[in-house]
Amino acid sequence: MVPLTKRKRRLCVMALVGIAALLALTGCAPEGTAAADAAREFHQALSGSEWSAACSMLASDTREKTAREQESSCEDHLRNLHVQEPGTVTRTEVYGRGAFVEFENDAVFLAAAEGGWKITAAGCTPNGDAPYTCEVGGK
Amino acid sequence: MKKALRNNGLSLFFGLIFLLALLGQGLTGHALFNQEQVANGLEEISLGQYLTSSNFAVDVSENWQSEYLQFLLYILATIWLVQKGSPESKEVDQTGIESDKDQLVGEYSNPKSPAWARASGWRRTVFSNSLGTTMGLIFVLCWLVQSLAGTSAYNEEQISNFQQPVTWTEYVTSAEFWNRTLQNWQSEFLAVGSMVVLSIYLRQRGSPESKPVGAAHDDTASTG
Repeated sequence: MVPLTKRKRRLCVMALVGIAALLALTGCAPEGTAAADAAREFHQALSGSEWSAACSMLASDTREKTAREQESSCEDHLRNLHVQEPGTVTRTEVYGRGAFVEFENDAVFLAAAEGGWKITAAGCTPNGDAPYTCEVGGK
Repeated sequence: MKKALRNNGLSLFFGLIFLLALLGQGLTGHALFNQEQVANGLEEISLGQYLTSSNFAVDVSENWQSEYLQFLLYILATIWLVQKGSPESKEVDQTGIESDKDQLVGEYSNPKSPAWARASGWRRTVFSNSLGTTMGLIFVLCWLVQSLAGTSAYNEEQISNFQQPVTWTEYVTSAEFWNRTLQNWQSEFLAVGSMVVLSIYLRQRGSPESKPVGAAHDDTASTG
């Protein structure tokens, strides 16, 4: 292999930095895997009836709002839901501090928090151009 | 040192106020972003995170692209278009790219002319258009960054509003992208147009952007 000149090496590094920046800006960052994992774990906790674990995966504001609006504990609210099996992940997009994970039968919204990705809405179905209608969290 | 400061005062002054204004934008933008995060029940971010975010990038690049477009259009339009009485315009009978003699290129160059102005062929063509080309390239790059960072910032907002993210193509054809773009363009075009027209009748003593105070209103291309 012909060794690269110093100038060419510098150009390669600049190109790689540019590509990395573009990927980060366009939402293709490896962060997507972590967000999809968090969404999957939330659904696993729901299907395993691990209500406390599922509640701990919610963003604090979502957890408080859920309990307040439903006039019950977060755990009780999740227990009374009938969120269907999500199927496999079909799309993951991460933009800044927000992530959107689409399953075959569900859509989950997440926000970056200190302990990793937290669920801000789940059990969501599209509603045209308006916000998704969600079983957990959301508008 | 003192001489160097005096000889480069204009670029140093603008470089300094640019950095101060950018710093101010970064600090106030960070405060505003965190206010919105708290209002949406989301966690606040550090200054470093904000300065590397798409939100900051789109706010910076959308202003940069419009400024470079403004100067690009001004550089190119003033080749062919004139404004009688304006010091920003050439004489009304000098429209076009002018002769080699007027432009001091090739055989009309002098010993102090840049090497590529003395050269012939592609080098002279490149150098003859280097200002417009560079401004144009910076404009296109900034506009591209605005579109990419804008897609990311817009989608972050979409997600926090529980709405579906959009693609880059959807974003660059969206009202959001064109509204951000055109609100910058209109202000730049107004400022340049005002400068061209106001400088016909108004003066600023000592400024090369103005005609001499005593110059006639219909004097074109004179600077004071």
